[in-house]
Amino acid sequence: MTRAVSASPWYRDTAHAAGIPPAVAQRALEWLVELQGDDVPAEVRQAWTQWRAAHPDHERAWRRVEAVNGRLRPLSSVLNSAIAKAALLAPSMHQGHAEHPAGPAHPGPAAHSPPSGHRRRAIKALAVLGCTSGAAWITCEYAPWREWASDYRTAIGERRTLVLSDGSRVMLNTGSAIDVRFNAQERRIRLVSGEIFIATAPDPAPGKRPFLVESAEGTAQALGTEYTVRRLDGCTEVGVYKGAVRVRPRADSGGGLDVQAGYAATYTPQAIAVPRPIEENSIAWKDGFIVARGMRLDDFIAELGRYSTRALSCDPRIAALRVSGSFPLRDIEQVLRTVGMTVGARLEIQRRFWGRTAARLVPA
Amino acid sequence: MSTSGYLFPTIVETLYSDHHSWLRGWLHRRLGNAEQAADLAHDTFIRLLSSDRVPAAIDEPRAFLTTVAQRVVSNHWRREKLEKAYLEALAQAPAEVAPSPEARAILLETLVELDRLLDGLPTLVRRAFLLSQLDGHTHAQVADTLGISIPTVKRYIVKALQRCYFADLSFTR
Repeated sequence: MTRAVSASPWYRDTAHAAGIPPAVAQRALEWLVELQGDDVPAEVRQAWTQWRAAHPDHERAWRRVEAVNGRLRPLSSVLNSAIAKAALLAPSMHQGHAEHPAGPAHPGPAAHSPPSGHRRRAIKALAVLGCTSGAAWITCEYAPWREWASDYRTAIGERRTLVLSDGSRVMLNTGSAIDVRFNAQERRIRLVSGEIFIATAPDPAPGKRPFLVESAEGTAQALGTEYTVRRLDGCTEVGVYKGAVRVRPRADSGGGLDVQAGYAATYTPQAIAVPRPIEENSIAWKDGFIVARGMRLDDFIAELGRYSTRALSCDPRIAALRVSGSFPLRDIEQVLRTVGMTVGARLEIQRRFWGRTAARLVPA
Repeated sequence: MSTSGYLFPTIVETLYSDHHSWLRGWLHRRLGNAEQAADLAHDTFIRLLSSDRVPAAIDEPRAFLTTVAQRVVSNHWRREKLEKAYLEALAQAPAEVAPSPEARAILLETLVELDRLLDGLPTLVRRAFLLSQLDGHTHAQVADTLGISIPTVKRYIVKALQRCYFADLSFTR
């Protein structure tokens, strides 16, 4: 039998739910688990709605579920979930209360010792974020745990243009972060994440300093250009629209490769792939559009997902259907409906964990 | 709500004046730190003031106080351990996606409460809960990862959910 602990501050708004029969609470939780499944059939949702309406206690119990969901919402982002899991599963967290650490009473931020072996394993859960290749570089660059904030960043779905001190323009796409590190020798931008479009200006300072975009995988130096630099999983992609860019992978001691206008190249710390022609469409985001030309639906949804905080997906049965068109990024749900209509699919909004929703295209 | 009504603060006042220094000393001996002992002694009395379960008469005040203080100390260590684990996890996160200071504070408070609510659950139950709720794994995936059956996964999840959502009720299973 589970004991009742003192009520949580999370229950304050629904304190009256404390009076409901445990059997009703149990049923509410079973419904919660049911609704968290993949592809919940409409009949199940219907039954749940009916259950809620069947008795005031049911509704009160469900209100409590929703109240707590609201409190758990900070945990619902991918990053916060991973951090939360690592912290809550850290081995010391579920030993007995009898321990009294002999160490300093208030460790505080200054005492940042490297995590012990088993904790390092627990924290590996963060690898699921897919940033593993950059992580070592980034944590080495930002070793003191306090110094996280990038100089400029955009939220998911946000775009931002900056004019730098030399007159160069940088446009940040969705979910991007950069640091600007101009000094007497060089004009350096660190691309921490996401995608940026750069239009360089000639250096007004006498030194004629080189303009570089650095990422975990290497540097892309502007040779009088307009170009994009985008971080992907374990690699960086450069697209050149004007002029040329000299790419130097981090671990490559050679002179690097010059990528010309009209070409894109992907590189890892070790190597650069052969440059391939780019499409003008890939910078349609600068004008607030996403453009597809005969793109597979699943690829399109993956790309569209960059601009949405909601998880997007499509049913495997329609994944190979082709999408063409130009769609404004302002309203992602509308894009999905429009695309859905053209490929004969329907948009389904699914309830996910703790109030997160996901949007999925399924056969109509 | 407290049944003692307005008598209640008086009881705590008496406890305070009679036993506060003693409690501080007791805590100092256990913690090895005077400043922290003072803080936690203070927290103990605050906890009493906001509690609705202080008895109307206390036969053994010191025993009573140490029981309450034990819980305060225990929560304090638990919170410190969690905060340390949290900071280490945060330090491993890619810099660009790290939360703002406000978001960090909220996240930590959420974790502290969640941890408190899940206190005492067996590791496997905790893991099943976290994998499904935080990582969004399906029941089948959780079953696979933990090497247990799907019905057991659901049972474990519901057990943990009982703690999260209805910690103020007693369940029979």
